Amino acid sequence: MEIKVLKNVLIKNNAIGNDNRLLFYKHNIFTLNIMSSPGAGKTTLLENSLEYLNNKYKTAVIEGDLYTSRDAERLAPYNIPIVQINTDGGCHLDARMIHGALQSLDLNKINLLVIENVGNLVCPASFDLGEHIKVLVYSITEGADKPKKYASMFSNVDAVLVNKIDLASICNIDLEQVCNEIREINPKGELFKIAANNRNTLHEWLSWLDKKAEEIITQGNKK
Amino acid sequence: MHEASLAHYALDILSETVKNDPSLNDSEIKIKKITFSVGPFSNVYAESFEFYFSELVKGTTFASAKLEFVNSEENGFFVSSIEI
Repeated sequence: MEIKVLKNVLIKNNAIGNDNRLLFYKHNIFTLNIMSSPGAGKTTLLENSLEYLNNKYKTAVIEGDLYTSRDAERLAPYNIPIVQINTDGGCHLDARMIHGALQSLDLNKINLLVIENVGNLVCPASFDLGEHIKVLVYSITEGADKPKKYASMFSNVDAVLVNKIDLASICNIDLEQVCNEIREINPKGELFKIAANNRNTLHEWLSWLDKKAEEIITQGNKK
Repeated sequence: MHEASLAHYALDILSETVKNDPSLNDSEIKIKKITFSVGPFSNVYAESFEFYFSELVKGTTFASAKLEFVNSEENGFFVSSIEI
C-alpha cells in the first residue's frame, strides 16, 4: 500500500526561516545573507562597506564559520553587535541557527542585519534563513567556469558581486564574457563588478543596498 | 555534505507521518519503500543522502526501506510517498 506524504524535506527549516522573516518585519530589520566560496571576499566586502552602512543604519552581523572567530575579530573595530555561529564543520547556516543567534541581539536596536554565511558555493543556496535578500560574492580568480558549474547558487541570488576585477587580466579572464554568462544563468539578478578592497568600486552596490533596505524598512513602518 | 542535514529532516518528516497515521501505528509494520522527488538544482546527491539516511534509520521502522529518487520539474526535495 502506498501512502502519499508530499512534504518538502526542508519544511522545518523553511518554517523557522519564515518565523525569522516575520521577526525581521516586526522589528523593521532589513536582512541580508552573503554567500560565497571560501576566500572570495565576503569579510573584505563587509569591512569596506561597514563604514558607509554604519553611518546610515544600526547594523549587526551574524558571522558563520566552521571553527574560528577570525572574521568576527576582523569586524570588531567597527563597534557593532556581532554574533558568532560556529558550525563545527557544518557546511551551511540554517534557519534554526539564525533563530538561536537572534536571541543574542537586541532587535529593537538594529535595522540592518548582515549574515555572513559559511564559505561554500553549494549548500548555503538551499537553506532559507528568513533573509530579505541573498547576495553572492564571486571571485573571478576562482575561474571563469564557476557560474555554470555552480548554477544552483548563481541562479538563486538577488545579486552577484563579481569580485577581484582588478585581477582579471593577471588571471587571463575575459570579464565581459563571465558577466554575460552570469546574466544568462540569472537574468533577473543584479550584477556588480567590484574589487572589495577598493571602496571606489562599491558605490553601485551600496546604493542598490540602500534601495532594497528602504523598501523593507518602509514597508515595516507602514504596518 | 549537507545531505546529512537533509537525512535528519527527512527522517523527522517520516517519523511524524507514521506517528500521525493510525493505520501505521502497529509496531509490526515495516516500511518497504520511500520515494523522494528531486527538483532541479536541489543539491541532493542521492548516494550520499542514502548513506546518511541508512545510518540514521538503523533500528527504526524505516530500516529496511528501499529508497527511490524520482527527478521532478518541481523545485525542491520532497518526501513523496511511503509504501508498506
